[in-house]
Amino acid sequence: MKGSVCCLFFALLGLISTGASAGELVVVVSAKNPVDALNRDQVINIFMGRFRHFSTGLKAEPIDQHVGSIEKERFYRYLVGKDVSEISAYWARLVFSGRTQPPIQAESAAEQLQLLASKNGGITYLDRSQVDSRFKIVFSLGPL
Amino acid sequence: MNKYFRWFPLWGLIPRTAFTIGWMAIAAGVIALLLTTEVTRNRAERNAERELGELLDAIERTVSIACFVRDRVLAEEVARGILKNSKVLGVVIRAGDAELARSYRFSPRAEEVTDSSEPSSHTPKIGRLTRLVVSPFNQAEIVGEIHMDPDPAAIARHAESDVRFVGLMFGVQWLVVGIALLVLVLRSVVRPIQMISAHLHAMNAEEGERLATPMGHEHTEIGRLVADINALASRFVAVIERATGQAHMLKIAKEQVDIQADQLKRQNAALARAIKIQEEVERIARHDLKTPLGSIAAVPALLRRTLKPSDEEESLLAMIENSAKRVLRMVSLSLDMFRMEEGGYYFSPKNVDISALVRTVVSDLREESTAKYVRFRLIGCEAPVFVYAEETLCYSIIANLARNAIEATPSSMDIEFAISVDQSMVHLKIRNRGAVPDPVRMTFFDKYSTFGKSRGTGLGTYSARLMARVQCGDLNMETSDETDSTTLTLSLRAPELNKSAEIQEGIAVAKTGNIATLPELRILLVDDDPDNTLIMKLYLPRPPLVVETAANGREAVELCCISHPDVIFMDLEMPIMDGFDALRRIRELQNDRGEMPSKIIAFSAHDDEASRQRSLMAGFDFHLSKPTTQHEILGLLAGGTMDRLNDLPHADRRSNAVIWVDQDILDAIPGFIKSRLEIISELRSTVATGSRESLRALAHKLKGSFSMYGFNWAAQISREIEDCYLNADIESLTSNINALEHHLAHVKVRLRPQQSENYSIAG
Repeated sequence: MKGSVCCLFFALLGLISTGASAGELVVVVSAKNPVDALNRDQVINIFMGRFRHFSTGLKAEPIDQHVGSIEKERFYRYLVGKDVSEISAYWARLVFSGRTQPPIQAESAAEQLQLLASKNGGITYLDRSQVDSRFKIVFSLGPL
Repeated sequence: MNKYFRWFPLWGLIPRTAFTIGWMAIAAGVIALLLTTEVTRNRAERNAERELGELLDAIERTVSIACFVRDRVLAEEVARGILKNSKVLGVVIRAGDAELARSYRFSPRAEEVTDSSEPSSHTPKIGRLTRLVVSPFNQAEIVGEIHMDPDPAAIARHAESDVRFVGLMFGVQWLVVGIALLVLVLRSVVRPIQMISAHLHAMNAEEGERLATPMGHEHTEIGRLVADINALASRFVAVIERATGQAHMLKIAKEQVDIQADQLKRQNAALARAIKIQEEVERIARHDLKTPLGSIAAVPALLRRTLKPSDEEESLLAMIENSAKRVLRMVSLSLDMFRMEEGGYYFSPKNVDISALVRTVVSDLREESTAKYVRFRLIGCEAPVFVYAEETLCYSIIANLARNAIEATPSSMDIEFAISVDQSMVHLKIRNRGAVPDPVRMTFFDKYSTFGKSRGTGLGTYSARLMARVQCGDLNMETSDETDSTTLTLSLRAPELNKSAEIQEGIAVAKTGNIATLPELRILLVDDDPDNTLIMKLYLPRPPLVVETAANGREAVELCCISHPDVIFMDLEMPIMDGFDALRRIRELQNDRGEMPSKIIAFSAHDDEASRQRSLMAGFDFHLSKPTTQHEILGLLAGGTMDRLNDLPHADRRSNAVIWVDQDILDAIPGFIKSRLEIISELRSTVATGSRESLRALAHKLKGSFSMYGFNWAAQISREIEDCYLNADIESLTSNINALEHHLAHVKVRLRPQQSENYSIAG
């Protein structure tokens, strides 16, 4: 019963958030990054730790939004159809071997943007409205 | 098997049942165990397969991630984890072309894993398990595969373990159930039955003992069985008691019957003795009567010779003569009847004028007929009609029948006598009114059969028929209610021409003896009866004869010492010394002296054939029966007759006799004669070998068979042989055997005139 109440709460919260900013979620890289566009598989490979190099050979460094971010939730939902907890479980297994690491976790939206700007191979996801000239959209998850 | 059962309890009901059930349980248990083992093993293998499948399911997601990111460490970790399952021999995880992990309990090449791991027995059928792994984020993308090799030995061990467990459980259960079943059967069925059997075996049902129902079986089939056995035992005991009672009663009855049979036997013996004594007395009486009666009958003739009686005296003399002769005839007849019944009657027929006899009878019975106003009507009785028979017998028959007719005829009615001649037979029909009553018809000719006659002995018709048959004739009766009449037909043989001539000649020879032809002979009369001696002396004319007398045998022998008689008339039964003894002594005396043997004549009242033969065999020259006539004596003394008669014994005179037989045995006669001739031939050889006992047996056999077939004369001869089997000399035996053979060779067998319906019953 307690679980159900929590689920309902988060669902309502999500609706409110969605309703507040119902924009388009896009994957962006640094404007300095030569890569212009990525496909879905490439995005998945980078973010899920399978293959973290751009076609130019530049090492990709994915950055996740902060915990509790609606964008993060939406991003994984729309990208691989899984929720954040499942993504966490996934990383929990991979972390064990140490072969690959999960994306860098930003503490806040500001840190996210700052991290993206500071790393050459940085790649993250944003609401299209938050994209400025420092960034380059390489993949769009479409309107939400 | 029962014998062994008794002596070997090993084969008792309980051991057998236990043995059988035990073996059955073991066999069933083994089969069930094998089945269970197989099922359990299959089940264990399927479980192992499922378990490995589930293991693959469990690691699939992790492997999917490992393959997705080609994380070798993660894959190896997973593989190591899998190997912790003992049923897994090894695992290979591939991601595309790359092999992320390979982990085995030992280090075979991946391809050889399945081949080298085959155990020696119970190889599980689980092969390598392969699972394709898809991407965690795209179900359509295959990112790798897992190859898992199960460990057959480990699976088999697990299966065996399961099987052992299940088998143990099953075995224990089976054992428990089996023992329980066995105990149940032994306790509930076998033991009670065994107890019943033992009790039944030792039970004395006749003493009232019964089976007890085993505890707890009052309402079971065993209880019912006990009740049924008890009921059956009760019924058996009742039946046995009844049978025992009946057997006891039967025994008592048998004892009583035995006692009665004994009594009957004793009575029969007494009766037989009495009959024998009676017959002997009768024979003696007849013999003793005949001698004085003969004397009385002879006296009137002798008186007439010397006296001149007046008419009145003459009538008295005639009365004495007739009465004596009549009584003598009755006594003779009575003796003859006895012989006829015994088959020993010597039939000496001659020509008899039956019409004259009828007239005589009618005349003799005139008084009786007149008293009853009955008239006699004679048909065909005027001229003489001869029959070949004995006058005395014929007279007796006719007189007997006529007397019966007078008694049976109502007053004022006629009795008809009709004589007719039919070929070789002469028939005399005596017809009177009145029918014979029904009850008597069937037994009319039986001995002691009588009806309505208070004083009748029942011997009349019986003896009449007996006498008729002895003379080769017959007597039959016809009676009818319709005509209310009874006709008795006496059939007798007509004389044969040659026979009558021979007999007539014999009579003529006898009659030629007269005083003129008598030689001068010295005669000795030996008799203890002075009356007889007196009569004989009167019969013998002196001269030319010289007559001496002796009162007994001794006197006769003494006289023979001092004189030599030519002829001796010797009585047989005398006091002091009898005739046979005297004969022997006289023969010895004369033989010693070298004298010519006297002619010694046995002179006896015994006139039967056996006596005649006995006399001749004893050495007498002739047997003369009392009473006799002067003619006969003179004929003897005149010479020739005696020799002639002795040389031609009765056998020859009878050899051409005719045997009259009934239709039913006529066909058997030739075979009979042939077989008798064989026996006679045997008899002849027996005489030669001298076995007297065999002789007697053969003669006895002949006697019986001849009597049965009506060969009365041959039966008589056989009887003589049998009677004298010890003493007879070979010569006389041979003579008799010759006579028998001659008789059988010449005897004429004729069919007795058939009057099968002796009477007809009217209506």
